[in-house]
Amino acid sequence: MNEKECEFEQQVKQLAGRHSENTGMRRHLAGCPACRETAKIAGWMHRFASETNGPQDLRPAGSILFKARLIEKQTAVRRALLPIMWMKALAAGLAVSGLVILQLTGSSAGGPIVAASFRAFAVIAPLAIIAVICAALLCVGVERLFRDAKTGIGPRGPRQGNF
Amino acid sequence: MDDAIFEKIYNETARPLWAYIARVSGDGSAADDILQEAYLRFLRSPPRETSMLEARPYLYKIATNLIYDRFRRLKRQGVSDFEVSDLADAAVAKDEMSAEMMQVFARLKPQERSLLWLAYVEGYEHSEIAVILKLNKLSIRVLMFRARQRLAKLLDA
Repeated sequence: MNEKECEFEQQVKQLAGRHSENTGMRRHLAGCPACRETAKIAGWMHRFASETNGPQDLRPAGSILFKARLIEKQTAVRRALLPIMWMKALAAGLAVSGLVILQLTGSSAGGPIVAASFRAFAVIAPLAIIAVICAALLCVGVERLFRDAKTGIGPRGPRQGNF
Repeated sequence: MDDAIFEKIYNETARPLWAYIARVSGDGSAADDILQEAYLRFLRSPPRETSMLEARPYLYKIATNLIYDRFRRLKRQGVSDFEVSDLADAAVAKDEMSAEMMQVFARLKPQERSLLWLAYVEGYEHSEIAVILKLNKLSIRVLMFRARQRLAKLLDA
């Protein structure tokens, strides 16, 4: 095998691939080992490329465009939902920390009104936290539903109208 | 990107790109998914110019990355490159002879398959192949030589 390239290698590659060697090229190949190797490989590669089947069922361009737009919309929805999810998490965190602080400072600080409010809040707060967690899980579920559609995971029906 | 421009690019590149993906990955059924993903990524981040001159090698670059990602994923699962080739879709081969040719090609490493296909079937220059495969332009000549050497050895065997 000869690592050195010949200046005619590119032409040999093209002509050998198309099986259109002319007399001049054949004469060159007789004296150039590098181009002989190139011609052999090029001929085989082209035969290999032509011997194998093409795609059985190529999707139309329109279906790719449709899917791309769908994914774009899903991404936009996910981005829009993110601040809401963050705010819900923050609200839950504030509610919990508020409860903890009130508990630590003692119900005596602020008088009986605060104590009564705290007692009422202490009953409602766990329910509020549960509601916030459920809302956050719902958002995550919706986001995952859209994400599954984006990655194409799911039942593969017929190619046409598989969206 | 304009729909008409994308359709033009798609109609001109889809079949040869599918052939490239199927031969290099050795799996015709995976080629359908990789092809679709390549065009989706192309639409998500199109090249600066949407001419065929820019779009075509860009598509091959995306497809090559997806093929190599697939090989890495399979390797993590414990499947070797050669085992992947043995799983090649029989429908890709027209007959016994082409199936034998596929087996020979499949014995090459994925990078060698890419190099040879891009150079000899698609007709890309070394500089273009370097961009597609994200390799140093100076190392393409050596890598191409080694790939040719390996293929020649397999053909002589």
